[in-house]
Amino acid sequence: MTGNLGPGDLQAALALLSKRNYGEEGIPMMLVLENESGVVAGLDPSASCLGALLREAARGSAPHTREHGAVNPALLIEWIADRTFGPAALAQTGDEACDA
Amino acid sequence: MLEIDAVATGFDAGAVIRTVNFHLTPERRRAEYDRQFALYARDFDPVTAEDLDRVMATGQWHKSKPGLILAFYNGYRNNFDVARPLLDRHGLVGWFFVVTGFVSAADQWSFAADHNITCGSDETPDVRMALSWDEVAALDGPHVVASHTRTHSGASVDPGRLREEASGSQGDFRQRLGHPVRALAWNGGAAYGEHPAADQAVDAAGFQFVVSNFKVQRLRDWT
Repeated sequence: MTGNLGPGDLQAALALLSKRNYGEEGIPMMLVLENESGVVAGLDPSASCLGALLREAARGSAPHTREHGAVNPALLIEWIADRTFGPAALAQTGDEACDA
Repeated sequence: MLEIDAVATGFDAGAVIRTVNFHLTPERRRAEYDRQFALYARDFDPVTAEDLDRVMATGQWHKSKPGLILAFYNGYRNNFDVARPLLDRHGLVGWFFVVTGFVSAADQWSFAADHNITCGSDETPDVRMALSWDEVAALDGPHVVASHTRTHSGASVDPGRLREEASGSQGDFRQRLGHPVRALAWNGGAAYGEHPAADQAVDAAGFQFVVSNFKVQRLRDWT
Protein backbone atom coordinates (compact mmCIF):
# COMPACT_ATOMS: atom_id res chain seq x y z
CA MET A 1 0.00 0.00 0.00
CA THR A 2 2.82 2.38 0.75
CA GLY A 3 4.87 1.23 -2.21
CA ASN A 4 4.10 4.34 -4.21
CA LEU A 5 4.37 6.58 -1.21
CA GLY A 6 7.80 7.81 -0.18
CA PRO A 7 8.76 8.44 3.45
CA GLY A 8 8.21 12.17 3.00
CA ASP A 9 4.79 11.52 1.55
CA LEU A 10 3.90 9.29 4.47
CA GLN A 11 4.95 11.97 6.91
CA ALA A 12 2.91 14.53 5.01
CA ALA A 13 -0.08 12.20 5.07
CA LEU A 14 0.29 11.62 8.81
CA ALA A 15 0.65 15.34 9.45
CA LEU A 16 -2.49 16.01 7.46
CA LEU A 17 -4.32 13.28 9.32
CA SER A 18 -3.35 14.67 12.70
CA LYS A 19 -4.94 18.01 11.78
CA ARG A 20 -8.40 16.49 11.69
CA ASN A 21 -10.93 17.87 14.12
CA TYR A 22 -10.92 15.02 16.62
CA GLY A 23 -13.71 16.73 18.55
CA GLU A 24 -16.21 16.51 15.70
CA GLU A 25 -15.04 14.08 13.04
CA GLY A 26 -15.52 10.34 13.15
CA ILE A 27 -12.04 8.85 13.39
CA PRO A 28 -11.73 5.35 11.89
CA MET A 29 -9.62 2.98 13.95
CA MET A 30 -9.01 -0.75 14.24
CA LEU A 31 -8.85 -2.65 17.51
CA VAL A 32 -7.46 -6.07 18.32
CA LEU A 33 -9.96 -8.38 19.97
CA GLU A 34 -8.60 -10.18 22.98
CA ASN A 35 -10.33 -12.54 25.37
CA GLU A 36 -9.16 -14.52 28.38
CA SER A 37 -7.20 -16.87 26.11
CA GLY A 38 -5.50 -14.29 23.91
CA VAL A 39 -6.39 -12.77 20.57
CA VAL A 40 -9.61 -13.92 18.91
CA ALA A 41 -7.99 -15.36 15.81
CA GLY A 42 -9.71 -15.89 12.50
CA LEU A 43 -12.51 -13.48 13.14
CA ASP A 44 -11.99 -11.40 10.03
CA PRO A 45 -9.73 -13.07 7.46
CA SER A 46 -10.21 -10.13 5.10
CA ALA A 47 -8.33 -8.01 7.61
CA SER A 48 -5.30 -10.26 7.92
CA CYS A 49 -3.33 -8.16 5.42
CA LEU A 50 -3.63 -5.18 7.71
CA GLY A 51 -0.73 -6.41 9.86
CA ALA A 52 1.61 -6.25 6.88
CA LEU A 53 0.33 -2.79 6.03
CA LEU A 54 0.96 -1.61 9.56
CA ARG A 55 4.51 -2.93 9.58
CA GLU A 56 5.11 -1.33 6.19
CA ALA A 57 3.82 1.99 7.46
CA ALA A 58 6.03 1.68 10.55
CA ARG A 59 9.06 1.07 8.33
CA GLY A 60 8.04 4.03 6.20
CA SER A 61 7.99 6.23 9.26
CA ALA A 62 11.51 5.21 10.31
CA PRO A 63 13.24 8.28 8.78
CA HIS A 64 10.91 10.52 10.71
CA THR A 65 11.58 8.54 13.87
CA ARG A 66 15.34 8.96 13.44
CA GLU A 67 15.01 12.70 13.01
CA HIS A 68 12.06 13.66 15.17
CA GLY A 69 11.26 10.78 17.51
CA ALA A 70 8.82 7.92 17.29
CA VAL A 71 5.59 8.30 15.38
CA ASN A 72 2.50 7.73 17.49
CA PRO A 73 1.47 4.12 16.77
CA ALA A 74 -2.18 5.10 16.98
CA LEU A 75 -1.69 7.57 14.16
CA LEU A 76 -0.25 4.87 11.90
CA ILE A 77 -3.26 2.67 12.59
CA GLU A 78 -5.59 5.61 12.03
CA TRP A 79 -3.89 6.20 8.69
CA ILE A 80 -4.45 2.63 7.56
CA ALA A 81 -8.00 2.70 8.86
CA ASP A 82 -8.70 5.94 7.06
CA ARG A 83 -7.32 4.58 3.78
CA THR A 84 -9.14 1.29 4.03
CA PHE A 85 -12.54 2.18 5.43
CA GLY A 86 -12.65 5.93 5.97
CA PRO A 87 -15.58 7.66 4.29
CA ALA A 88 -13.47 8.82 1.35
CA ALA A 89 -12.15 5.29 0.77
CA LEU A 90 -15.63 3.77 0.99
CA ALA A 91 -17.03 6.35 -1.39
CA GLN A 92 -14.44 5.38 -3.99
CA THR A 93 -14.66 1.64 -3.80
CA GLY A 94 -16.98 -1.14 -2.88
CA ASP A 95 -14.09 -3.24 -1.60
CA GLU A 96 -12.63 -1.81 1.55
CA ALA A 97 -10.24 -4.64 2.35
CA CYS A 98 -6.56 -3.96 1.74
CA ASP A 99 -6.30 -2.44 -1.67
CA ALA A 100 -6.13 1.21 -0.65
CA MET B 1 7.82 -0.52 17.87
CA LEU B 2 6.77 -3.18 20.38
CA GLU B 3 3.25 -1.79 20.44
CA ILE B 4 3.11 -1.82 16.64
CA ASP B 5 4.36 -5.40 16.53
CA ALA B 6 1.76 -6.56 19.03
CA VAL B 7 -1.07 -4.87 17.15
CA ALA B 8 0.20 -6.10 13.78
CA THR B 9 0.34 -9.64 15.12
CA GLY B 10 -3.28 -9.31 16.18
CA PHE B 11 -4.17 -8.05 12.72
CA ASP B 12 -2.28 -10.97 11.13
CA ALA B 13 -4.55 -13.31 13.06
CA GLY B 14 -7.63 -11.54 11.79
CA ALA B 15 -8.50 -10.54 15.36
CA VAL B 16 -9.74 -7.14 14.28
CA ILE B 17 -12.81 -5.06 14.82
CA ARG B 18 -13.20 -1.76 13.01
CA THR B 19 -14.41 1.23 14.94
CA VAL B 20 -15.12 4.89 14.30
CA ASN B 21 -14.65 7.20 17.26
CA PHE B 22 -16.78 10.30 17.68
CA HIS B 23 -17.04 12.96 20.34
CA LEU B 24 -19.25 15.95 19.57
CA THR B 25 -21.71 15.56 16.69
CA PRO B 26 -22.89 19.11 16.00
CA GLU B 27 -26.02 19.87 14.02
CA ARG B 28 -24.12 21.70 11.29
CA ARG B 29 -22.39 18.41 10.37
CA ARG B 30 -25.60 16.40 10.19
CA ALA B 31 -25.47 15.93 6.41
CA GLU B 32 -21.85 14.81 6.60
CA TYR B 33 -22.64 12.21 9.27
CA ASP B 34 -25.65 11.08 7.26
CA ARG B 35 -23.47 10.39 4.21
CA GLN B 36 -20.87 8.60 6.30
CA PHE B 37 -23.40 6.45 8.12
CA ALA B 38 -24.95 5.45 4.78
CA LEU B 39 -21.55 4.19 3.62
CA TYR B 40 -20.93 2.35 6.87
CA ALA B 41 -24.34 0.70 6.67
CA ARG B 42 -23.62 -0.37 3.11
CA ASP B 43 -20.37 -2.14 3.94
CA PHE B 44 -20.64 -3.15 7.58
CA ASP B 45 -23.00 -4.76 10.03
CA PRO B 46 -23.68 -3.20 13.43
CA VAL B 47 -22.21 -4.68 16.58
CA THR B 48 -24.29 -4.97 19.74
CA ALA B 49 -22.85 -5.91 23.12
CA GLU B 50 -24.32 -9.38 22.62
CA ASP B 51 -22.65 -9.63 19.21
CA LEU B 52 -19.31 -8.65 20.69
CA ASP B 53 -19.70 -11.12 23.53
CA ARG B 54 -20.61 -13.88 21.12
CA VAL B 55 -17.78 -13.28 18.68
CA MET B 56 -15.20 -12.98 21.42
CA ALA B 57 -16.40 -16.10 23.18
CA THR B 58 -16.70 -18.24 20.04
CA GLY B 59 -14.40 -16.64 17.48
CA GLN B 60 -17.27 -16.74 15.02
CA TRP B 61 -18.81 -13.65 13.47
CA HIS B 62 -22.40 -14.50 12.56
CA LYS B 63 -23.39 -11.58 10.33
CA SER B 64 -22.81 -11.28 6.61
CA LYS B 65 -20.69 -8.15 6.60
CA PRO B 66 -17.77 -7.26 8.88
CA GLY B 67 -18.71 -5.63 12.14
CA LEU B 68 -18.26 -1.95 12.83
CA ILE B 69 -18.48 -0.22 16.21
CA LEU B 70 -19.51 3.42 16.06
CA ALA B 71 -18.39 4.86 19.38
CA PHE B 72 -19.49 8.17 20.87
CA TYR B 73 -17.48 9.46 23.81
CA ASN B 74 -18.36 11.60 26.84
CA GLY B 75 -22.16 11.69 26.62
CA TYR B 76 -22.93 14.78 24.61
CA ARG B 77 -26.50 15.85 24.05
CA ASN B 78 -25.88 16.31 20.32
CA ASN B 79 -25.06 12.60 20.09
CA PHE B 80 -28.70 12.04 20.97
CA ASP B 81 -30.13 14.88 18.91
CA VAL B 82 -28.02 14.45 15.77
CA ALA B 83 -26.27 11.09 15.65
CA ARG B 84 -28.96 8.86 17.16
CA PRO B 85 -31.66 9.54 14.54
CA LEU B 86 -29.14 8.94 11.78
CA LEU B 87 -27.97 5.70 13.35
CA ASP B 88 -31.57 4.56 13.61
CA ARG B 89 -32.30 5.57 10.04
CA HIS B 90 -29.40 3.53 8.71
CA GLY B 91 -29.91 0.55 10.98
CA LEU B 92 -26.66 1.13 12.85
CA VAL B 93 -25.83 0.66 16.51
CA GLY B 94 -23.94 3.30 18.48
CA TRP B 95 -21.82 2.66 21.55
CA PHE B 96 -22.27 5.62 23.88
CA PHE B 97 -19.44 5.90 26.41
CA VAL B 98 -20.95 8.17 29.02
CA VAL B 99 -19.16 10.17 31.71
CA THR B 100 -21.84 9.76 34.36
CA GLY B 101 -20.81 12.78 36.40
CA PHE B 102 -21.14 14.96 33.30
CA VAL B 103 -24.74 13.84 32.83
CA SER B 104 -25.53 14.40 36.51
CA ALA B 105 -23.68 17.71 36.90
CA ALA B 106 -25.78 20.73 37.77
CA ASP B 107 -23.26 22.96 35.99
CA GLN B 108 -22.13 20.97 32.98
CA TRP B 109 -19.92 23.72 31.62
CA SER B 110 -17.89 23.92 34.80
CA PHE B 111 -17.77 20.15 34.97
CA ALA B 112 -16.50 19.98 31.39
CA ALA B 113 -13.88 22.64 32.01
CA ASP B 114 -12.69 20.88 35.17
CA HIS B 115 -12.52 17.42 33.59
CA ASN B 116 -10.97 17.93 30.17
CA ILE B 117 -14.21 17.53 28.27
CA THR B 118 -14.27 19.51 25.05
CA CYS B 119 -17.09 21.99 24.71
CA GLY B 120 -18.54 22.55 21.28
CA SER B 121 -18.28 25.95 19.70
CA ASP B 122 -21.98 25.68 18.85
CA GLU B 123 -23.19 25.30 22.42
CA THR B 124 -23.86 28.14 24.78
CA PRO B 125 -23.73 27.98 28.56
CA ASP B 126 -27.47 28.45 28.91
CA VAL B 127 -28.15 25.24 27.01
CA ARG B 128 -27.69 21.71 28.31
CA MET B 129 -24.58 20.17 26.73
CA ALA B 130 -24.66 16.61 28.10
CA LEU B 131 -27.21 13.87 27.68
CA SER B 132 -29.99 13.77 30.22
CA TRP B 133 -30.56 10.53 32.10
CA ASP B 134 -33.84 10.11 30.21
CA GLU B 135 -31.85 10.26 26.96
CA VAL B 136 -29.32 7.76 28.28
CA ALA B 137 -32.22 5.47 29.14
CA ALA B 138 -33.66 5.91 25.64
CA LEU B 139 -30.31 4.93 24.11
CA ASP B 140 -30.05 1.88 26.34
CA GLY B 141 -31.37 -1.08 24.39
CA PRO B 142 -31.50 0.12 20.80
CA HIS B 143 -27.90 1.18 21.29
CA VAL B 144 -25.16 0.33 23.76
CA VAL B 145 -24.58 2.47 26.83
CA ALA B 146 -21.12 2.11 28.37
CA SER B 147 -18.97 3.82 30.97
CA HIS B 148 -16.35 6.44 30.30
CA THR B 149 -15.87 6.68 34.08
CA ARG B 150 -17.57 9.08 36.45
CA THR B 151 -15.36 12.12 35.89
CA HIS B 152 -13.53 11.41 32.61
CA SER B 153 -10.71 9.78 34.51
CA GLY B 154 -7.63 8.06 33.25
CA ALA B 155 -6.37 4.77 34.67
CA SER B 156 -3.28 6.10 36.45
CA VAL B 157 -4.93 7.97 39.33
CA ASP B 158 -4.80 6.76 42.93
CA PRO B 159 -6.57 3.48 43.83
CA GLY B 160 -9.29 5.08 45.88
CA ARG B 161 -10.29 7.30 43.02
CA LEU B 162 -10.10 4.42 40.55
CA ARG B 163 -12.72 2.55 42.55
CA GLU B 164 -14.89 5.63 42.59
CA GLU B 165 -14.53 6.08 38.85
CA ALA B 166 -15.30 2.47 37.96
CA SER B 167 -17.73 1.31 40.64
CA GLY B 168 -19.13 4.80 41.08
CA SER B 169 -20.09 5.08 37.43
CA GLN B 170 -21.46 1.56 37.52
CA GLY B 171 -23.57 2.56 40.53
CA ASP B 172 -24.88 5.54 38.59
CA PHE B 173 -25.97 3.25 35.77
CA ARG B 174 -27.57 0.81 38.18
CA GLN B 175 -29.51 3.61 39.80
CA ARG B 176 -30.60 5.30 36.58
CA LEU B 177 -30.96 2.38 34.15
CA GLY B 178 -31.71 -0.39 36.59
CA HIS B 179 -28.71 -2.47 35.57
CA PRO B 180 -24.92 -2.31 35.24
CA VAL B 181 -23.29 -1.70 31.88
CA ARG B 182 -20.88 -4.10 30.24
CA ALA B 183 -18.06 -1.93 28.86
CA LEU B 184 -15.70 0.70 30.19
CA ALA B 185 -13.18 2.94 28.45
CA TRP B 186 -10.69 4.96 30.50
CA ASN B 187 -9.92 8.46 29.37
CA GLY B 188 -6.58 8.14 27.61
CA GLY B 189 -7.38 4.65 26.40
CA ALA B 190 -5.45 2.47 28.86
CA ALA B 191 -5.89 -1.25 28.36
CA TYR B 192 -6.61 -3.82 31.03
CA GLY B 193 -3.20 -5.02 32.22
CA GLU B 194 -1.46 -1.65 32.06
CA HIS B 195 -2.32 -0.49 35.58
CA PRO B 196 -2.94 -3.19 38.23
CA ALA B 197 -4.96 -0.89 40.47
CA ALA B 198 -7.17 0.09 37.55
CA ASP B 199 -7.62 -3.58 36.70
CA GLN B 200 -8.77 -4.25 40.27
CA ALA B 201 -11.25 -1.39 40.00
CA VAL B 202 -12.59 -2.74 36.71
CA ASP B 203 -12.94 -6.21 38.22
CA ALA B 204 -14.65 -4.93 41.34
CA ALA B 205 -17.14 -2.95 39.24
CA GLY B 206 -17.87 -6.07 37.17
CA PHE B 207 -17.27 -4.74 33.68
CA GLN B 208 -17.12 -7.36 30.97
CA PHE B 209 -15.25 -5.37 28.33
CA VAL B 210 -12.48 -2.79 28.41
CA VAL B 211 -12.18 -0.73 25.24
CA SER B 212 -8.77 0.90 24.89
CA ASN B 213 -6.61 2.59 22.28
CA PHE B 214 -5.59 -0.63 20.56
CA LYS B 215 -7.82 -3.38 21.92
CA VAL B 216 -11.18 -4.58 23.00
CA GLN B 217 -10.69 -7.00 25.87
CA ARG B 218 -13.32 -9.44 27.07
CA LEU B 219 -12.65 -10.14 30.72
CA ARG B 220 -15.44 -12.45 31.79
CA ASP B 221 -18.79 -14.00 31.01
CA TRP B 222 -21.79 -11.77 31.45
CA THR B 223 -24.50 -12.96 33.76
